[in-house]
Amino acid sequence: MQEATLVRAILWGLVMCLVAVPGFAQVEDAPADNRTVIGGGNPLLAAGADAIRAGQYDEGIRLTTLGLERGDNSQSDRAAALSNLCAAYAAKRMPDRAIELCTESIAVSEHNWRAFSNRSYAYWLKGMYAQATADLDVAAAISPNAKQVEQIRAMINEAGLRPRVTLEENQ
Amino acid sequence: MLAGGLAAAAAPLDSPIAARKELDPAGIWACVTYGDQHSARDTRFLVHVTPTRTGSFAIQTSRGAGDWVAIFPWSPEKDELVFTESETGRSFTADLTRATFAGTWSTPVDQGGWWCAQRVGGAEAAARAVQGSALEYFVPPLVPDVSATPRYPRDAVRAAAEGYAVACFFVDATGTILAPEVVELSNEHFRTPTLVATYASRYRPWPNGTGLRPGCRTYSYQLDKTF
Repeated sequence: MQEATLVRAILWGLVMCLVAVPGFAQVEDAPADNRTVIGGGNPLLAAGADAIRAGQYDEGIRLTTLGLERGDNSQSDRAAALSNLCAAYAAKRMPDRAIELCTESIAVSEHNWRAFSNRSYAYWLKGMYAQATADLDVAAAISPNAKQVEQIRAMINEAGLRPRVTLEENQ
Repeated sequence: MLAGGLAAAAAPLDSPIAARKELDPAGIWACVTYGDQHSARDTRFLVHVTPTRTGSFAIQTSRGAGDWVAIFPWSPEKDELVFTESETGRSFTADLTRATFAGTWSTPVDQGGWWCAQRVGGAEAAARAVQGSALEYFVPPLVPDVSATPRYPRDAVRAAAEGYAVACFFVDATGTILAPEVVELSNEHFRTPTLVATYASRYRPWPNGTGLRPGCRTYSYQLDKTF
């Protein structure tokens, strides 16, 4: 039960990442002179992000895929969209596809901590804790205070660390 | 004199602690030591403190006790007593604000703590000779009967927190652990599981036994990477 709650929290974290993508729906990080661009760069990508955020993963994947087929996306928009797709597939418990998409996103831009974090989560789903840790370390190096990174780190620790208590009698 | 060997210590009138209770260490005490992770060995000893704060010390082995040796220098300070024992070279500091005679020890390269149970009360001990063998006060080592394993706290696993806790306590003749206290703790995560496991443990009873024996346990909490 606790595990399910934890995974829901992580998935919510992944979805929340989608609103923090420049050019889609991010408000707080957008420069003042860039406000007209919010949600307007590629409406399909923005709509896809919204759908994924709402838990409509299939619809989000469809819209984001359509948005990616447009040829005028910036590199950063493309990287963010691929990371969003990665998150959606991870949320659908399809880690192999998620890993492919995150890897593609990282190839486009290696500065997006969310792509590393999302791929880390996908590796966690597959039980590949060493790879998950490696990706999380990169995400943490880029964004040291990201809550999602902390959450995934805790999940990896819980799954991949075996507790041991030894007792010494002081006599 | 209050029950349990506690006496009200005189405090200056302007002290904010006007009626602080201080342990009266007079008596003969059976003690155990615990060390840090580099400690080579634990030691069991007897210590005799007179009402005038003179003292003697005797090492205990698993089968007996050595001779009484005067402790010096013996430095009574406020709320603590400091003494050095020549055989092990350890300097002991007793914290008299604690519930029993206990404190810390150190050498130039090592450090740890100690914990005692009273063997003979102060007034009676004052009349006892502290020369020659201390064998009549010998306290055999405790023999574990049931050792409960602490549960590793989930939050500690998630935080990848490792560490240790030392619990000291008294054991009665039935082998029951009484009044355990966490005396060293590397991380607050480990306090509760240490106490729960200690309470759930037992030692082998001793026949016709009276009095309490001192005991300490060190629990090491470690995480092994599985990937």
